[in-house]
Amino acid sequence: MIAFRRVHLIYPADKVHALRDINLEFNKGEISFIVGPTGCGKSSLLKLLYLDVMPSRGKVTVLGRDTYSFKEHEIPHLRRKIGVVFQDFRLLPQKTVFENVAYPLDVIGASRFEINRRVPQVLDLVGLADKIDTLPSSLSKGQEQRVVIARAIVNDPLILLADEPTGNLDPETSWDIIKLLLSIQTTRGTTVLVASHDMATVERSNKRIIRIENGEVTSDRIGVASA
Amino acid sequence: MNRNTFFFFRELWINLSRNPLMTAAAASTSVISLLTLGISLVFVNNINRLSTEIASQVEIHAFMKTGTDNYQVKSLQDEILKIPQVRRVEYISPDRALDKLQEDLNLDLEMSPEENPLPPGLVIRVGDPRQVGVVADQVKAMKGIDELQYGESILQNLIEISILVKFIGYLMTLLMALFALFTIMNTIRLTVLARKSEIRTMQLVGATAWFIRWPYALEGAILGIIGALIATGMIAIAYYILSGRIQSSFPMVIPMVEPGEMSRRILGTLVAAGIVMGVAGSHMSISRFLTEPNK
Ligand SMILES: Nc1ncnc2c1ncn2[C@@H]1O[C@H](COP(=O)(O)OP(=O)(O)O)[C@@H](O)[C@H]1O
Ligand SMILES: [Mg+2]
Repeated sequence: MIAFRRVHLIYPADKVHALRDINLEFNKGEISFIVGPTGCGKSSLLKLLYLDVMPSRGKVTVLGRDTYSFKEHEIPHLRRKIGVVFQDFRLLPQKTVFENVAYPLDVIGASRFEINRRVPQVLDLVGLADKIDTLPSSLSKGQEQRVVIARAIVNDPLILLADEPTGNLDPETSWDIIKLLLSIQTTRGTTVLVASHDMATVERSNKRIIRIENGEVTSDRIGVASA
Repeated sequence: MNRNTFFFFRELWINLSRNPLMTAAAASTSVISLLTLGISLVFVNNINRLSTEIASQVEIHAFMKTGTDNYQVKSLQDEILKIPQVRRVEYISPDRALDKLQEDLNLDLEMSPEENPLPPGLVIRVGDPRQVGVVADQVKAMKGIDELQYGESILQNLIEISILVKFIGYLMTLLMALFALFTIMNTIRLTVLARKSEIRTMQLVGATAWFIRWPYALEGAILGIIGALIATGMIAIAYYILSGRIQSSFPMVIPMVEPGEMSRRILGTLVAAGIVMGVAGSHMSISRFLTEPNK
C-alpha cells in the first residue's frame, strides 16, 4: 500500500537533509505511529505521501504506484483517496466549518443531498455539531484541529495521514482522538499513519511505533500499553 | 456540471462577500482603470467624428468659363468623375449660383439670366481629404476649367491636426488599456497572493486546477463588469453635462458624438475590456501557484 525505498529528502531552498535512507512499508488497513522530536522529519515523511514534496532520491510508492509516475492531472485524484490532518490545519479561512468539511465533497462533485447528510455526520463524530456555521477564526485550536480531522475523513479515504492530530488537545481529548483514528482504521479498514511527539498517548495505543531522529529511522516496534 | 456551476457561484459569492475590503479595492481599481480607458475612448470617438465631419466638408469649387454649354459641362463632369479619389460632382448652374449668392447676402436683385455675371461651376467632393490637392491639380489641368477654389492652407492644417490628434488619441487609448490591464492584473495578483496558501490547500485536498481557477475567473469577470458599468455611468453623466456646456458656449455647432450614442459605444467596449482583463488577469496571476512539485 505504502512503501519507502532508500528515500532521501533534501529541501532545495536551504539544502536541509530532512530524511535519510528511509526504508519502510505499511500494509493496507494498518495503523502506525511515527514519533520523534520536532524537526526530525515526521511531517516531511507524510508530505511525500500526498505529493506535497517529491523525494530527492529513492522511491516512494503510494497505492501501488511510484509517486513520480503520477501525471499532473492524476495528482488530484490520488489526493482524493488520502485524507490529511495537516499539522498547520490548512483550513480555508473564508469558509465556515461546514463549508470547510464539505470542500473535499464539492471537489468530487457530490450532490447537495450527500453533502448535507455526510458533513453533519462527521462533525458529530468529532464533537463539533454545534459549530457548523462558525468561521475558523472564532474556533479554539482544539476545535480547529477537530474540524481538520472531520475534513480528512469526510471522503472515506483509503489512507489517513494525521500530522500531530493531538498537538493542541488535553490528554483526555487526545486519547479520544486516537480512539477515533483507531476506530476508523478498524471499521473502515483505512490505512492510518499518525505523526506525533506525544509518547504517552501513543504508547497507550499498543500499535506499531516508528521512531525517527535526525531524518533517520532509529526504531520500529510495537507499543506496550503501560498506562 | 450543474452541481459545479452552483458551487462556483457560491464560491464567487463567498469570495466577494466575506472579503469586502479586498472586493472594494479590486472593484475600485477596475473602475479607475476602465474610467481612464473610457475617457480616452470619448476623445477618440469625438476626434473621429470631427475628422469625418471635416472630410465631408471638403469640396473643390471649379468654375468654368462663362457661356460654357451644357454638353461641355457634361463631358467635364464625366472626366472629373473618372478620377478615382472623386466621390461626387455636382453641377451648379449660373442661375443657382446667383440664387444662392442672393440668399447668402440677403439681396434681392432683379436680374435676367443674360445679365448674370456668374460662371457655371462644379462642386467636387473627395473621399479622403488628404487627396484634395492631387485632385485639384488634375482638375485644374483640364480644358474648360477657368478657376479653382478650395481652402488649401486651412484644409491642410486641419487635416494634419486631425491626423495628429487622432494618432495621439489612439496612442492614449492603447496606453490606457495597458495601464488598465496592468493595474487589474496587479490587484488580482495581490488577491491571489493573499490566497496562495488557500490555493495550495485546495490542491492538497484534491481540487483540480480548473476547479480552483473557475471561481477566480468568475470573480475577475464580475469585477470587470461592475467596473465597466460604474465607469460607463460616470462617463455618461459627465459627458452629457460637458457636451451640453460646450455646445451652448460656442456660437457655431461643434460636431460631437451625441451623449446616448457615446454611452452605448463605451458600454460595449468597456464591458468587453473589463471581462477580458478580469479573466485574463486572474488566469495569469493564478497560474504560477498551480504548479505541482513532481517535475
Ligand atoms: N519547506 C521546507 N523548506 C526547507 N526546510 C524544511 C521545510 N520543511 C521542513 N524543513 C526542515 O526539514 C526538517 C524536518 O522538518 P519536518 O518534517 O517538519 O519535521 P517534524 O514534522 O518532525 O517536526 C527540519 O529541519 C525543517 O526545518
Ligand atoms: Mg511536523
